[in-house]
Amino acid sequence: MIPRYQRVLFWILSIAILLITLFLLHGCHQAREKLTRRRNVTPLAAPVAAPSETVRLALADDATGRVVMSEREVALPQPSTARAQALLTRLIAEYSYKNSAHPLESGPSVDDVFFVDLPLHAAEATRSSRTTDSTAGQLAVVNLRGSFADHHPSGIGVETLTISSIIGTIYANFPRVQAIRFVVDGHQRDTLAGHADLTRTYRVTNTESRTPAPELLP
Amino acid sequence: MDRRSKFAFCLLVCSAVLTLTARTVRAQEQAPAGQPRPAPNRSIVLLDPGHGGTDPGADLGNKVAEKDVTFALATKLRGALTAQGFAVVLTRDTGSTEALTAEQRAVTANRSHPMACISLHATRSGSGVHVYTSALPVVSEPPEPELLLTRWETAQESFVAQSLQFAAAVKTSLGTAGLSATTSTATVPPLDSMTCPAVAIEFSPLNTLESADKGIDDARYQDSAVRGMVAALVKWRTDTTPPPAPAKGTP
Repeated sequence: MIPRYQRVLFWILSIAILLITLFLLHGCHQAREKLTRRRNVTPLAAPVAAPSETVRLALADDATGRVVMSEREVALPQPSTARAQALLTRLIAEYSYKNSAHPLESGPSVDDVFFVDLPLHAAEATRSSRTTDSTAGQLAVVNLRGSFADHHPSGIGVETLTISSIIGTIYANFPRVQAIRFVVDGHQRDTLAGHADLTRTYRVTNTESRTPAPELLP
Repeated sequence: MDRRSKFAFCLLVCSAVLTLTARTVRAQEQAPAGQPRPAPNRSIVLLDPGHGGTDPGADLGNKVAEKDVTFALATKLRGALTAQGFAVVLTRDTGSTEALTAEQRAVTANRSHPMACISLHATRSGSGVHVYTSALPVVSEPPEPELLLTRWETAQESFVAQSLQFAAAVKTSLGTAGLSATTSTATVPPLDSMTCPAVAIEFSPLNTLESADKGIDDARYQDSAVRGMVAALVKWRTDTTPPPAPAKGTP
């Protein structure tokens, strides 16, 4: 015969277990609601899809030492600076693919691209017609990532080809850009990886199928 | 001393000062704006082994740094050129612990007045030998004697035409020595400031059937390269040396 106090204790414990179970279920339900609410606040709607468009990339080839234009279908943002950054990032990404003709390490490469209207100083531009002609349009300032420059293969040819490839791509897709300068992590750097000069202002020209060295501005 | 004597003395002093001043001004007007550029020494060759000191240059694999290979190549080339009667100036020696700047290399070159400047480089990218000249535009007319002041960054400008000829000679000689070479232009810092016919030669691995992936640290590759460069410099010295003036009285 079970004593009365034990039966009472049994029922009390059973009710307590039931209450705790209900409390936990309620807590789980609240937590789920909380998460669901937060998820609803997050803008899960996909961004407006940019239409794919045909862009021209100036792709370098180490074997021939030349730059060749190639077309790609890419979705790019509309603002010009973001567009240039996305385009150059795509260009460098091409070189990280397997069996690339100009192999570079994968990873972030271009931080920003800025466009500055030329001439920078009107007084200097009017000194000679040559200067005025050579500086009409825009100057593109390409801010490369330090990690990209640090891990770039070292050599005159390979560095010159990378520079020519970037210049050729800008030439093909941004017709107003007349000149280009390179900075690394926002600062001037002497060379890309020990050879190609990054302190100069390069003239934006068609670098396809000719000697790869980009032209300098006077 | 009376008043007349004082007046005459002052007049004399003033006229002397005016005469001296006029002569000084005339002398300054007649003086050239700069000293004429000295002629290059036909027997001096400048070799610039790339990198050095704390700057190892490219990693060529097997723990071989570009700075060591370029210096070894320059040392071999110096020996071969000395045997041919050249005086060789190196921009750095083996004991240099600090990395030379491009400006320091160009200063060494420009002070030596060499007949040719060769900057040596090596890489793991690409294949074969590549001879680079400055990407500066070719200047058709030499600068006027009064305008000898040139911009440091574009000092090579008036030598680009000669550099292109020299690069072609190097390419041909390397080909004769069994190394396929290409010529191109590049913006490499020391070249643009050198006032001599200047080229940068970059040695990539050889990817031929006989020698697959042979780097410039290979002794036979180096020997061929030295042979080709010596032949090019000997030819360059012969081609660019002005012919001796005819003796007086000869028909």
